[in-house]
Amino acid sequence: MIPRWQQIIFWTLLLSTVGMAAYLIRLRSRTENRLLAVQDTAPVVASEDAPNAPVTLLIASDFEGALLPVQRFAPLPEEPSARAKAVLTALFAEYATPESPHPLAALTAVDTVYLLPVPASTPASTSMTASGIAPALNRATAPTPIPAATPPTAPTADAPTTDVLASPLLAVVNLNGDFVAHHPSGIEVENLTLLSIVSTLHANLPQITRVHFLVDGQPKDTLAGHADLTQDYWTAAMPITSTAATPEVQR
Amino acid sequence: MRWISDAKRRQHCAAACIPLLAAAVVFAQQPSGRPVVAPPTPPGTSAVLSATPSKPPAPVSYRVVLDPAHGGADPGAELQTGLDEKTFTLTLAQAVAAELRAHSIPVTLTRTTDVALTGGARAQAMNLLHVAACISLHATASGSGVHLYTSAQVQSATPDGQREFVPWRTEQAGYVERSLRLESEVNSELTRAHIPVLMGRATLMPMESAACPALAVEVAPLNDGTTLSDAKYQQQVADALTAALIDWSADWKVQP
Repeated sequence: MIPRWQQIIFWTLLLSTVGMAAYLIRLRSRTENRLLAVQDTAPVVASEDAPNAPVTLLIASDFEGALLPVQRFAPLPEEPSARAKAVLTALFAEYATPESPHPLAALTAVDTVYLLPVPASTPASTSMTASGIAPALNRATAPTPIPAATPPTAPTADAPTTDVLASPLLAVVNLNGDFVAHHPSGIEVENLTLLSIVSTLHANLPQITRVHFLVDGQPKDTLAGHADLTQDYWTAAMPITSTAATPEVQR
Repeated sequence: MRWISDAKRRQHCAAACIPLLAAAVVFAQQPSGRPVVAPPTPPGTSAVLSATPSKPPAPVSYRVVLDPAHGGADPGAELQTGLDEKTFTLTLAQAVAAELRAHSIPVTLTRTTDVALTGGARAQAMNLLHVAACISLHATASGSGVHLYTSAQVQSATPDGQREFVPWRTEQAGYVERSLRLESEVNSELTRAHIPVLMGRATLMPMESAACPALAVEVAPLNDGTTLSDAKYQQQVADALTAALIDWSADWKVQP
């Protein structure tokens, strides 16, 4: 015969176990819903019905070895990440044209652009300078190119003024793997593509001071065998590049 | 019969061991040349430090390292039908090496056959020899003329002889100014040969880890339709590089 007190303890423990299991299932469900909600707020593609706005594109020229500014109109959403992607979509549309001075395959180049606050610790702790912006591509015959380290043009009049743009931003540009696989190989041509992306982002969203590249969501050593993708690319606005880039531009 | 007691034996052992230990500690603290070699890590790893002694030995004689880019399973750029970058760079490196040897200048090639090398292995080959110039050779079908690239790093404020530890990917920071002077010499000779030149800064392996004046030379076709397979054009580039490295042999010891 089981004593009564043992029966009470058994049933109490059993009820507690069932109760905790139910609570865990409920917690899991809530967490899943929260994660799904975060994914729903991920950057979306530029809406075609967004208002057309002027956009400054820094177009690379293989023969000049320089970036040349071009003004275009493109539908620019208000949401900053979508706006950054729309700017890059307009940039790569230029490179897909037959008369492009920097011909690239007519493929989707950028899958997503994420904007994050710049980590405060990294810049001063390294002696590596703006690996992307600092390369001052110049040639005596180049017709007044915009050096990559030149301060960017003023933001467009309707630039978004949301809180996310109030501080320096790191742009994580997720390149499409198919586009990267078809990118021409060479030091100059690869660097020009990266410089063009970084400079165009900074020209239209001046708060972007640092750019990191991924390919299909994964880190990759080089773009097409040469240009380094393992390090971040800085714009001229950052203190570390302002001292480093100036003498290089004047070379 | 015991010759000495256990206590005495311990004392004698201690007396003999202490000087030996002290000598071993002193020996271990001595700089061991300039062991700036590639750490056994995958390319792209930047957190590893390479030990740089307090006084690195300067190159005692003028020697050049030529690094034909790519190789093995990595063909590099397809320059034109049937011509890969790895083949072009090896041919060009061998031509320049032959000309330099004809002028009694010692040359080392990072590869002499179609083999794959990591950026770290190439930098290791450069750094172990304590050379006066490291030239990485590339080729591309884009653009025109010859593109010269030096490291995008800033010249280190600390003389390279006084830096204790240097991150592997920033070794070139101690040589940036000399690399720019080497680039200037190459630019002069290419311009003299009427070859258009484009100069820039870039982050490239193995240049970033090279403990020597380093330069990446990328050869592209010419605007007038001259292709990279043109033997005359190849010879012009090889002659200009040789002339620049001969000039550099007279200038490389001058500190910036």
